[in-house]
Amino acid sequence: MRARRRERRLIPPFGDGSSPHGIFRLLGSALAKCRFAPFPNRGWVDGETYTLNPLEVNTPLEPRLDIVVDGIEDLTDRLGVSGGDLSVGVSVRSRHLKRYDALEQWRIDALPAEPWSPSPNKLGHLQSGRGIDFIVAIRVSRNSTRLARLGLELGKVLCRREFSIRESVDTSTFPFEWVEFGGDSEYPRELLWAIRWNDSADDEDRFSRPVHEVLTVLVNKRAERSLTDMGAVRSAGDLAWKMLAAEITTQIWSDVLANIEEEPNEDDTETLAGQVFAHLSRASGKPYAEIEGLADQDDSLAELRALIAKILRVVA
Amino acid sequence: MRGKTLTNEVARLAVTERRQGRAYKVLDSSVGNVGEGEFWDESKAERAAVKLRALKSGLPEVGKILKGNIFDKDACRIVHETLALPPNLAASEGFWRWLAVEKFGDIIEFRNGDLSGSGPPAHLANYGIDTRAEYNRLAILWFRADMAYDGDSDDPYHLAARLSSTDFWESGVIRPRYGWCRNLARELVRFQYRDPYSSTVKNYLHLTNENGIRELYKRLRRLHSTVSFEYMSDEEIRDMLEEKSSDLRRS
Repeated sequence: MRARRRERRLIPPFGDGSSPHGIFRLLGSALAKCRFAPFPNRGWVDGETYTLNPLEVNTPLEPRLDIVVDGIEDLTDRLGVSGGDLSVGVSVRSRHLKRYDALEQWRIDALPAEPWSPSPNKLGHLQSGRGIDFIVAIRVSRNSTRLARLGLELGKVLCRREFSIRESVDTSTFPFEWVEFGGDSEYPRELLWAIRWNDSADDEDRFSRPVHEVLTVLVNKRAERSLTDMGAVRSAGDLAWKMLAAEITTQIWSDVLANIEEEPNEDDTETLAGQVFAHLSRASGKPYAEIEGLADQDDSLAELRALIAKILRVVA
Repeated sequence: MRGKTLTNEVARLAVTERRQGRAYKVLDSSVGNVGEGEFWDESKAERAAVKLRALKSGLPEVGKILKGNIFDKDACRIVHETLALPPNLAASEGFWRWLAVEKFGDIIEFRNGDLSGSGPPAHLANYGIDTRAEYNRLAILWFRADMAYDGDSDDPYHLAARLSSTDFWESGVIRPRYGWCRNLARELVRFQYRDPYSSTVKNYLHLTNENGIRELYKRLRRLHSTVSFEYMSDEEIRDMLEEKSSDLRRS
């Protein structure tokens, strides 16, 4: 039902006296079976929107589209045109780069039998790590007397479906991996996430290194699908991701604050400690000398949690 | 590639303090990052700023609006060519804000403040503060060059460099979605500014009359909801622009 709701039926009332209702019905479901996936190792997205998880923000998109048009013969018969008069095109739109580019088009009766991926060359200049939309559209591709009489001139879109990739609202502040827990893994099967502190981070000034040298956050691969699905629920506003990010961030930052030997310099933005202090100082308005105390005020870490929630905008 | 970013709060504080004549330095701890890997080479911004200052000092003594338009036609090329931005930075509002505040503050004030220096300062939106990147003056210049870029020409910036009104670029090309179709953006420039060598701003359709080019923007916006411009040839777009504007008021 959701797929049908987002389709656009743009055909105007016919000017030759013929009823457009049959065509409307055909166009209403013509693209319903189209599917897309943002990366080769991902399954088809359920619905039209995929929200990038924090790990994927800096990963180049390699989308696949399964382009299926239902009722082609019915459609061309009712419109009185041949397959060459209509085409199916895939376009890409980037709001942040202000681009609306054609990627590929086919005659409506010569669509690829297999899922199709755009050439990396055609997407290179659009790999911004931000939101992007792929638009599949059936359009008039040739001037035809019959179509002109129906008010369908060249270029007119009959029906389209949009697939959107949305950026995660808050990008990760830590390296992140999906991992199989249980089995031979040192982590229990039921665990949702764990922090793997790197060996090189045992020394005293371990927090005075860039975060990717200090730790990796591991998240249970079994939860990937659920988290991704929850991220795709528009009304949920990425709450699942934000809650997970807030929980992990609280653990890491409280460890830093509880164990740090010496507070970082205020111009230090490269190291884990520098970033933790900078974020918290900015969010709380407190000087660096008071930041360390956030970890030992009480067991609940309520103030630290509130600041992290503010930084990650957990509650809109 | 990684780039520096500024939040609205930090950018606002920096601009406000500097306007009071204080030598305000943004702390490194207040500067954020976008992207990953190597940092974008900041010397590109410094080189662009030097070129823009030279351009500014060589402008003719003409009225404020014309002076701004003359500046923009060459400034957009300098910004686009010299900064050579990767897509992830060009798409970042925070990066544009950092560039405007930290590297091009004098240029923003020159272009959007009172050009004589005695009037009101530039609006904070011209730095991209509390607004989208498309209101950031530097981003406007970059998008102008990017959207009218003609890769098939010996001079890919020849369309962006036509002497033209910034209102045309902002309201007619950069903000509306139809303008994001690069083929339409290029043809719209050719349509509205027909003389590539004009030394005055020669609008084909009237720029401010309600039956001038503003009406064409509305028609294109409506048409774009049912027509995919991105698949049309240059010739088809030219024909469409002529047809949709045949009854509109010319300058």
